[in-house]
Amino acid sequence: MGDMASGQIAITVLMGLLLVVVAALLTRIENWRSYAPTAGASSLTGEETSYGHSEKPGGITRWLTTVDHKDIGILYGAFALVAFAVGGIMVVLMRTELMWAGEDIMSASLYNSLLTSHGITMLFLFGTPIIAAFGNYFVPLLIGADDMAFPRINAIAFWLLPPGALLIWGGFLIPGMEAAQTSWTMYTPLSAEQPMIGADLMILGLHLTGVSATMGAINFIATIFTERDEEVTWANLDIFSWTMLTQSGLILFAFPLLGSALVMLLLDRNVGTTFFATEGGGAILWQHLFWFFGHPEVYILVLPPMGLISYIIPRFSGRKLFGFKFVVYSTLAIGVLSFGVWAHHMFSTGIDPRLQVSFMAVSLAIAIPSAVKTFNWITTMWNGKIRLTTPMLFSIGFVANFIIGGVTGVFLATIPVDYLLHDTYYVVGHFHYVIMGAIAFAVFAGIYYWFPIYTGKMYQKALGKWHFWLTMIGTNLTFFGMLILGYLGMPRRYATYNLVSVGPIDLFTILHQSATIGAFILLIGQLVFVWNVVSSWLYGRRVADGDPWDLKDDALYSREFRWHERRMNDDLVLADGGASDDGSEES
Amino acid sequence: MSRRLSGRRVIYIVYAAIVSIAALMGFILGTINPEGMDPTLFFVVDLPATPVGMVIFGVSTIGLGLGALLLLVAYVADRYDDAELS
Ligand code: HEM
Ligand SMILES: [Cu+2]
Repeated sequence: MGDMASGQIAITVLMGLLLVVVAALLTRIENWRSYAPTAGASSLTGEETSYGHSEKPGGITRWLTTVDHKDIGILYGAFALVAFAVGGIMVVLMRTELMWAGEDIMSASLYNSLLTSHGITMLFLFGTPIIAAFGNYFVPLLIGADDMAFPRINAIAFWLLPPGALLIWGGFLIPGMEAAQTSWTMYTPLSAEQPMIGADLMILGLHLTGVSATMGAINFIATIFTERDEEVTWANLDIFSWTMLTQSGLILFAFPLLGSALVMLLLDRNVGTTFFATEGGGAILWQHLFWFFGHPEVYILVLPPMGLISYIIPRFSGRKLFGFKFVVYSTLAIGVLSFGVWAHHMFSTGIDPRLQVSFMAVSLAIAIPSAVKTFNWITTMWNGKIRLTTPMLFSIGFVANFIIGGVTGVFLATIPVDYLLHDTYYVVGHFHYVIMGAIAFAVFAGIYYWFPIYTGKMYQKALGKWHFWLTMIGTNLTFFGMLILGYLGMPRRYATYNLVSVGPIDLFTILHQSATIGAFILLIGQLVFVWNVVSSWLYGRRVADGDPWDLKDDALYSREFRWHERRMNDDLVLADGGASDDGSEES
Repeated sequence: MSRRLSGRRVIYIVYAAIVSIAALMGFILGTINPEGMDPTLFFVVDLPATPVGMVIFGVSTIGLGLGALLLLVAYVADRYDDAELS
């Protein structure tokens, strides 16, 4: 009881602190205004995006006060990569524990905490923010806008993330506190009854990141609808912006629902409401609410990466994206359908079989637009002349891994198969083929493809290739092993497998060890990546070319590189204080 | 800049890689032979739950499924793809 009371006090204090922080931020807005590139009426007159650097304060103040979409994009990117590292280290610890069958390097409860935090970190602190990084930096450039529609809301949305992250990791950071062990799905009654305050902190943090994502989504929608250059019509809006727009729509419907459900869970935990208690709404209510958010969330994470792939593949195949319209339609179709499949995560909870069949049908249907996209990517490459640059390698890797992830997903959506494989490592294998094998691959492709724009430098090509091959091999070793483990009946979410009575331990050990070795290979690959990014950014050679990928040769030059070229020219003439003409032409 | 490869060749390689993964999966599962595994090719042909049987199962299912996709790609790309290389 005393525990409960002190828990509530701690939360009240935290909430109070949060309010103070927000209030302090709000009072700073006046100060931000003077740095805002779009301050005052000039935002309406469409000034050049490449305003000089001199308007910005220097050093750390610049980064703390910026409302420039490019700076905020960089902030999102840096934040997301730090989160990727944190989530990655967590999972390396977990995989090390799973090298051997017993409880070897950590307790089962620590394992569960890491498991929970790994999932939430990767989805909400890496996945959504890294997409927002690309969106912030490049959507305004691609659509010819001066900035996002609401630059200051943009900044607030970003600055909600670090406190969110601290809360989510609070259970690890605050000495003497235990971290949540609910897994990312936070199923009740477990999540309602787990006593540790770490779980409350995590739920609050998750709530903040949800608010952040929602604010970002509103901003993207407003920007793409209202801030497009006259030349950019709906008909020639680029594919990446289309996917950002659809994704933002999904966020708008999905995240507020998660937020409400999280508040209900907090209330159940702390003030004795019974939303999800057996005598109240029941535990299944949580699952419905969670998955009504949760399935769209997986498409929130995959659509913009698909957009990146659709954007990059043509540029290294020397031809236009095949069937552009169909790629857009399939994006919209996925957006709509993704709200109609949530119960395929709940087949084994005993919901009405007739309902199950209809959810199975929609789940199989949603594979069709994904297949359409795959078809279009392959057709684009078919008659193309491929340049195997690092971004292209990652794009091809995306297609390969996405096919494996998609096929394994279709099997799972078939009810009898799901009964066998639900809650086994097969599911873990399936979604990691998509999330790591595809989504993260697209992120890397984007990072390399646009590296010259946001750093002004070129990355080291040999290291890029090393990064690709280590990541490709590591991913397939790890998650292939998991598919087989799942098929043999290894249940997910266990720190040990010596007590599991469903399978042969020796075999499980070998498969787990190969998955762990795969994870180590992945780790090495990511170290190469970090080294490459940091050293190239700091010491790499300057890109002197406005067309580093030779896109003009194939008539595939695009707006963001035109902007990049113009900025380089501006920098050259900045000394004269003159503005340069737009020297590039679209061929 | 960099060398250019024929798109088809790249796609054949990806295709071969994915089918080999299916074969490997079949081989491993066939070797382990867990209880209750009863491969039936295309819902008609009963295959033995041995490494060979499972490899045949994996390679035919994935190979023909993806192969059909590629045939469609080849057909469509030859007929409707007018975005010629410059
Ligand atoms: C081709 C379309 C897809 C189908 C038919 C499909 C089907 C399924 C099914 C039926 C499950 C539930 C398995 C179970 O728990 O018993 C599942 C789980 C999952 N899928 Fe997919 N999936 C597809 C694509 C994706 C994509 C694109 C992503 C990620 C962006 C994804 C991420 C996930 C995740 C995260 C889970 C596990 C959730 C959890 O229980 O923790 N799936 N999928
Ligand atoms: Cu789902």
